[in-house]
Amino acid sequence: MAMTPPNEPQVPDPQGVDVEPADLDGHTIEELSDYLERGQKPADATIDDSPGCQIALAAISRLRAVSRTFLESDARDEPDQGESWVSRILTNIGLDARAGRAIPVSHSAPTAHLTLTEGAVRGMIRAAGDTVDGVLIGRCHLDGDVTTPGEAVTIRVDASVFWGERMTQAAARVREAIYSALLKHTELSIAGIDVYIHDIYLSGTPLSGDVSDEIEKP
Amino acid sequence: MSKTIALSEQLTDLVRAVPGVIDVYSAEPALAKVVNAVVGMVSDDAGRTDRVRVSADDGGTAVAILLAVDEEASAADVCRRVHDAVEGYLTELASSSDSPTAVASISVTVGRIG
Repeated sequence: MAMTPPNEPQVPDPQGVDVEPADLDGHTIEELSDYLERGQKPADATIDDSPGCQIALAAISRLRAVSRTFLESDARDEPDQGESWVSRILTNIGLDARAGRAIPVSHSAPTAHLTLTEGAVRGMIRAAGDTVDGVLIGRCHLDGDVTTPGEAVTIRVDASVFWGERMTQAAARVREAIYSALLKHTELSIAGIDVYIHDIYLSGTPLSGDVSDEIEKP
Repeated sequence: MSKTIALSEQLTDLVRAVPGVIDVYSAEPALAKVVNAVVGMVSDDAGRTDRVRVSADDGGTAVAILLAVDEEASAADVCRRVHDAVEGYLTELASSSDSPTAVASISVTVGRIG
């Protein structure tokens, strides 16, 4: 399936809330990971009052829960290997949690200016994908003009699966979970959901490869 | 307490009570948040309840809200419910005021789902 290049004009919503589109309200993913490690103490209002930081913290928590067994194994066997794939997913969590573009929500009132941040939608997509057993979402893209109602949008997700999972079935479950969440929360016109499985983890060690499993329009 | 801050507090409480809303964030610009956080360290200001941004000029009252929505609710539906609750409140307020102010805009942004 041909892809539309990501279109992310990182501009704040002029009519509404001044969300910071291009970063995590001044924080790095490493700072958030450390904050979680400390049990979120002492409380940091600039993190606690940032939706992007909260999205990232939730994703890091899920990543830690899923990868704990593998990380323990890696720590014994190949510490650098385990660190690298977790670091890669952490970096992607940070990128996806940025507020990004404003996705409109319809309302008949002329005074209404209702939007979802792209970061909120990406976070929701990541959370939906992570609910599928044996799968970790790496990166999530919304390809197309999400700022214009009715414009076709393609969801592109990079995922990893653990050894023993059937890729086609895992990809189908990811697609179903994501599509269901998008229908529930957004008014986006979904043209397709492409799931790219980049890595297969065997006891924490990714097998290199780029196995694409594209799923056509629902 | 200024009228604007008082209204912001009332609207913050109102929005928090809308089904599906799980958090209301400060809708101030990022720089102002940092300044407030720093000031909060020395003045115990961290628990501010005026999280909805309210501004008023000749065009009327403008309201901006940044919130988190429960995963179980529809984010788009919650957005509309919040708008309608705020619009109803402001309309009622205007009807009981000697100098009613028009509603210029109500901006609702969902920054987090679940």
